[in-house]
Amino acid sequence: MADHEPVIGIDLGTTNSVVAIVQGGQPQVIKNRTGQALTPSMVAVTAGGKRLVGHLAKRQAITNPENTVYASKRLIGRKYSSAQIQKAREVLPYHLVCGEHDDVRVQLGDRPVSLPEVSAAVLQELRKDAEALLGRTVTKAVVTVPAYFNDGQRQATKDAGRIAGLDVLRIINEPTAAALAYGFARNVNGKIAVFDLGGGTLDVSVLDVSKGVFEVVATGGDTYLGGEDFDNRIIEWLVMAFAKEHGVDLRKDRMALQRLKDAAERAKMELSTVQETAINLPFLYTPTGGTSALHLQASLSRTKLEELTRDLAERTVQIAEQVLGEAKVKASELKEIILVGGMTRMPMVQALVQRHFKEPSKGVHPEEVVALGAAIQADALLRPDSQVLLLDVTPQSLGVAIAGGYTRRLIGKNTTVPTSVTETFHTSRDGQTTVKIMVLQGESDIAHQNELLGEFILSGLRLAPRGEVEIDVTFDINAEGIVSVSARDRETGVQQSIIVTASGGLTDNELKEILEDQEDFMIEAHTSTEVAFKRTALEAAAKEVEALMPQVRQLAGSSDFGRDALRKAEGILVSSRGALRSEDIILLADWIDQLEKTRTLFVGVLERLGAKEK
Amino acid sequence: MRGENEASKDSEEAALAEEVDLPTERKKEILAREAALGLDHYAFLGLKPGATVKEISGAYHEASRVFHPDRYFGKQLGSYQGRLERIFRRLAEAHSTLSDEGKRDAYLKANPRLRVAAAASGPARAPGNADDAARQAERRARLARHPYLARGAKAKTLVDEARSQLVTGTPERALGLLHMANKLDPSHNPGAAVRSEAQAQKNVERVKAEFEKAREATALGDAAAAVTAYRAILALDPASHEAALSAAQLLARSGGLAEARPLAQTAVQLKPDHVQSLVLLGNLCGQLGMTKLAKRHLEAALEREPDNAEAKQLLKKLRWV
Repeated sequence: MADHEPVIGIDLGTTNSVVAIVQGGQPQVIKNRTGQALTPSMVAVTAGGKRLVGHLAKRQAITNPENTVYASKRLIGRKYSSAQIQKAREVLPYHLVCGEHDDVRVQLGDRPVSLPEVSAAVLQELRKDAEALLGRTVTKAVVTVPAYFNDGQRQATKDAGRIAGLDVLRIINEPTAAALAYGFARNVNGKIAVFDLGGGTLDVSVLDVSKGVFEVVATGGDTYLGGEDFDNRIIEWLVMAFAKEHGVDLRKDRMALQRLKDAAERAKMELSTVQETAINLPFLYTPTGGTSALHLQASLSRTKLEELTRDLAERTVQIAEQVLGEAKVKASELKEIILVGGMTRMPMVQALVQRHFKEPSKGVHPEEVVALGAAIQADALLRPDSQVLLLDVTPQSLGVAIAGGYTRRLIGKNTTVPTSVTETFHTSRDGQTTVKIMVLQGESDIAHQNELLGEFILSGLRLAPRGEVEIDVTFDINAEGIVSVSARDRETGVQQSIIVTASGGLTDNELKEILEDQEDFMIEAHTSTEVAFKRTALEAAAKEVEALMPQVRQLAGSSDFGRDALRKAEGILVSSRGALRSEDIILLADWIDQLEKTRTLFVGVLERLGAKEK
Repeated sequence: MRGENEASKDSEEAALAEEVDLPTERKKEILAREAALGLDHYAFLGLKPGATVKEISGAYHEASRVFHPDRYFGKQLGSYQGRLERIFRRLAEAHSTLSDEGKRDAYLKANPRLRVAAAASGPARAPGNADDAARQAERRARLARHPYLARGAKAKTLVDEARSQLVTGTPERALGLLHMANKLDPSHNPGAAVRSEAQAQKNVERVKAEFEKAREATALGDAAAAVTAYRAILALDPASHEAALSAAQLLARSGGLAEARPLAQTAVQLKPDHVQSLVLLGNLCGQLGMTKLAKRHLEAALEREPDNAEAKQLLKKLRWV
């Protein structure tokens, strides 16, 4: 036991991946065989049928764009028919095809390859690098994913590990890993926020740390907001200018687009340290008809870049504010705010974080910190005398579909795992002998807007009028993060359960149709309790807004903006009071939402004005 | 009773004999905590009712170190796996309930015994807090008076400026300046007199604006909006007879009798001799079945204007009822 098998920590990133290990109590990054810490998350197949991974794949991407896969993390665990994939199909130079279960595959050479296989190729590369350093086989790993990954995306990542010959002990969230690495090295005690803006995603987490115990308080983010969106703004700008000058749309030329992409990313990175940079792409486009090739020459300043991307950067801090709000933590209470991900090197992002929260903590290597955290968690799991303990949460709510197409949430987001919840439901029809339990993940009150994780049937119920047969539904998430759901007939004790393993592979619309088809088999929450619950929540939300109004009136009442906001808030208050008598859960939820938004706005305004006067 | 004790002892012995990767001491610790699952949230965390959020978090983290299943990752745990998960779940529940104000209040409401205990331990800390607050306030006040800071003087110029704004009829600006002045020198509440004047001026303006809004809404046939405006006027100026009467009339016309009556009552209270108000109130009371009150109000109206046709007619109708 003393010399246990080595366990590595892997940050499987959108653009780059990193592997690390704890040796002699210290976490360290393992360099790859080309001597670099970062391995591009790219996989390619050459014309000769050879598979290339990492730097080798990246180097030939320009000449072989159709058979080079990058940013596959944005696609993993998603459904082919989803809007995101359909949108991605239009912009990606490689070809996506539909798999058997509406899963996404990439056409590489003559073979469609599943996304877990693509990620597995990268994982295997990292595993080999680790084995080269350690001189022994490695079969166990902790892998990180964005906090906002749903169960399907996590499962797909686990599958990738399995294909690569790695037993994935645990999937942990990237910001959590970053906090682990930061707190571990500095012995931090107090509240930490992690702002992780990577190539493809934004993740924000708040942790409460005391003597090695890392308690995740809240986590959130946006799966479609990252460095590539910034790159795209530069590409658009270059394409527009080029079209104006030459009348050619470069986006139709896949090879030109790939070169533009590289140039945009490089320019963006350079502008983090210099004020102005030149973009030169000679022979970018060869018109048909024998005229000479066209070149692209442009110069981009930091100011211009900031102008092109300001709204994106502002959106990132807004999302961060929202997560802090969910955690009920004020910016002033934060001991540290850690910036993670290459995009946080951008001066504008740093300035915005500083203005909205506090000065970001220094001394963090944004690209390596996540892998280090994964290695620390791996070590903590296997070493019995470790001081580090991670108390993680579920990133999204879990619930069941109930009659009428609504969701009843059983486990809310940001609940510490392991956890379990039992609730009693009843039949929704006279003479109903079968109920269908559909397990959903997501934050919507409308069932089909969530992700369907799995479903099962409990049959053999007693013939009875609606509402008489009672069914206990239990949700359980164990320490490994595996969700199991069971349903039990209270009278007979008959029980059915599932362990949620993979996503059902359904689109929104299909899910909606299924829900409608199965209306006869749905269970019903105690509607009265549900309505009463929402009403109380609505009243509480209204009271909170009302309590803030005098303050806002005093501070901001004299500005146009303030007057406008106050008038709107008054309207919302009156209407929501009117809705208070309604039986409609969705309507109630809607007004609660509106009031919450108003409250957040008011709190933001008050804090900002309060800060100014100091 | 004895039998039960013996049975639980037996099962405890069986659990201790179970072959798992845990030292006996740890096994005992786990069994003891599991036996405590029935205690209240505070006791389960080893705390007294009324413990602070910091104490709660500390106890939760400390206990997690021992009872979180991750501490025994990859070990043979047998029945202890389930025990650990049950204990940790309960720890997490206790922590999340007690560290969130809303949830804690609800929990204490449901457990009155704990509420009493928590309240009892509360005041022990309260004087300290109050002392602190008082000391801080005093320090702030002293600082504000400090000549170097000259806050008082600065505040005074702001008050003067506010007064001049008031003369030019811009109470909003004046209030803003006064607010700034107050922030500078909170202990002396500078410009209190000017403030109430500015507030009054601002209210007058708002009342005017609301009347305008109400008239517009009435013209457009939007009775609900007009009533809202009148209500806003009453909130600003509780003595506005016109607002009360108009709102009551509008509501009465649109069938909101129950809502109209209190407004009509207000109108009558504000102007007890206003015949129209009395007739309206009488009419409303009549329709709502409060015959006695209706008669009294209508008679009062007739006393003041003996040949009011409407009042006469209504009274006649009521006598028939």
